[in-house]
Amino acid sequence: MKRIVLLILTMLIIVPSSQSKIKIVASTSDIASIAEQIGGDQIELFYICPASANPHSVEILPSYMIRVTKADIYLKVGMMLDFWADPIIDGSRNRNLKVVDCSRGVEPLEVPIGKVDASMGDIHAAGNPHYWLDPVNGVIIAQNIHDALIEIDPKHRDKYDFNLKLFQDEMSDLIYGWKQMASPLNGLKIVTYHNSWVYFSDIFKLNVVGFVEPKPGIEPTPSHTNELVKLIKAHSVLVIGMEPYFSNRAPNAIAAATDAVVVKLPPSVKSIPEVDDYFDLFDYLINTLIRATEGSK
Amino acid sequence: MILELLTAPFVIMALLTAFVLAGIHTYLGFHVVSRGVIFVDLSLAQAAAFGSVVAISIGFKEHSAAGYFISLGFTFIAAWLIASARTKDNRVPQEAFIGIFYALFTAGVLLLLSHQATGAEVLNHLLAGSLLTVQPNELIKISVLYTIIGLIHWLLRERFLLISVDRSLAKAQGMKLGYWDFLFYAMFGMVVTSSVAVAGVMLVFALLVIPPVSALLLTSQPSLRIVYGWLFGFIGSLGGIIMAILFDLPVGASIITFLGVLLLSVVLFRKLK
Repeated sequence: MKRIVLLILTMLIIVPSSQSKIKIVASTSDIASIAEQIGGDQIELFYICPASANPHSVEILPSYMIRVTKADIYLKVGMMLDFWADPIIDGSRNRNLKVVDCSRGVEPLEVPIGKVDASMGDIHAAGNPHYWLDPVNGVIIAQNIHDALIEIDPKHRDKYDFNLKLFQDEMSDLIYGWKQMASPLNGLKIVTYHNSWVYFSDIFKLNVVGFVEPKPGIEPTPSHTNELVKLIKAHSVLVIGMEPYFSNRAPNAIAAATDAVVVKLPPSVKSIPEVDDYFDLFDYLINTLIRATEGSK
Repeated sequence: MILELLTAPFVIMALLTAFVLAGIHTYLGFHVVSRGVIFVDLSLAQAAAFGSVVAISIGFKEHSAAGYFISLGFTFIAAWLIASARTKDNRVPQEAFIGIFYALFTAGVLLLLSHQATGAEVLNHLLAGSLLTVQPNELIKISVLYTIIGLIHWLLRERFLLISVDRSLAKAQGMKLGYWDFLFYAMFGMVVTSSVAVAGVMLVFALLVIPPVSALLLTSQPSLRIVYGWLFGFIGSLGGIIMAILFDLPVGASIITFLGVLLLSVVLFRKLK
């Protein structure tokens, strides 16, 4: 039995090297979208967390394992957002896999001081993990992906260098444009469902005054919802932003008791049909928020 | 294509783990079914789950050694409660207490997790496990433990069988029922605690009950029963894993479904005969 297994295992190791494209598996659609910009035609992409699902928890399916078994590079979001990626990576037993933490080099926000335990809610010791929602960090992600690609596939280094440069230039123009676009949002008081918009509000100068969740990852409770209604009235908050994958029961109830409107904010590429890539994401988010503030006046 | 997939390292690990689980649970399942305490497994598994959630609440990591022993401690407490929860005249069936403990431990888990962010994930993991990501050291750990427990059961097989099948005769022979019951449930609890950590509550329950019941429907011969039971357990695991890979489904639920289909075939086969 052992011999048969070994024989088949060696066969398996020899088979995958037949194709020339670099196989990349990413935890989320956002990372995958940036990888697409850098890798171009040289890579074959797959992302694990369905774009419309909550990236904090993922049900592991056989196809994910198969993809990672055959992959060259794994792109993690990092900062413990996609901790479910570790058992997939370990379980795949792919020794040639290059694992990249895309958060490397990102300046983390909301790094907790002191001991973190589960009673505080979904607090990540490394800081708030929703860093891709600041486009400046998107450029850092691109750099990390680029570095991994030239290590694994040095033959096409020129292409990756070129693509990175192109992405950096495009992003610096776009970021300037997005900031202009978002200027009406400057100082906008907003309540969000989950604490996932710190990076976004940091760059676009929103003022997040509260959360629908009493603690990150904890379902809304009646007493907290009451407090929030008071807070929204006191601050005259106009917008309650929520990820499409949360239940809209509590946000709707809060909106009904106040002047605020509920706005669905997709946190990820492809989480709604209108957002097809990383560039669309910021266009859509900024436009949606502007429309919401205009509509509620 | 499917052959290539079936030999991928993670699939082999999942298969081996499923076989090890099927091996011990199918055997223990015969005892559980003969004793008529079908839900004892769910009850003990829930006690184990409660223990691991207690451990997480105090601040231990989900798969730490301390977490395991706290979990095991609660399983022993539940085993003792179940073993002693027999009224002399069977006024209240033991199954009632087992059900009550199940409900209480489940409620405890829900209360403890209600203020923890990762609660939903912990619950899902406890229920469904993750055979696809089993690590070699986990497999070795459960293999060694189950071999030891299997050996103890084999050495004391006559007594364990007697007490499961004919309690009054066992008592007449002077066996201390309470003591033997506790020994049985404690070892059973150790197995369940370890299995649940790997495969989840539902799969462990299915492997415990479905293969023995299928075998009991097919034959009354004791030596054939266990062979049939193991066959059902192994075929169910293999079939379920193939099904999961072919249709890209969660593995635990696929194995349970496949075992269910096997049981249904046995029922139909008996009808036609």
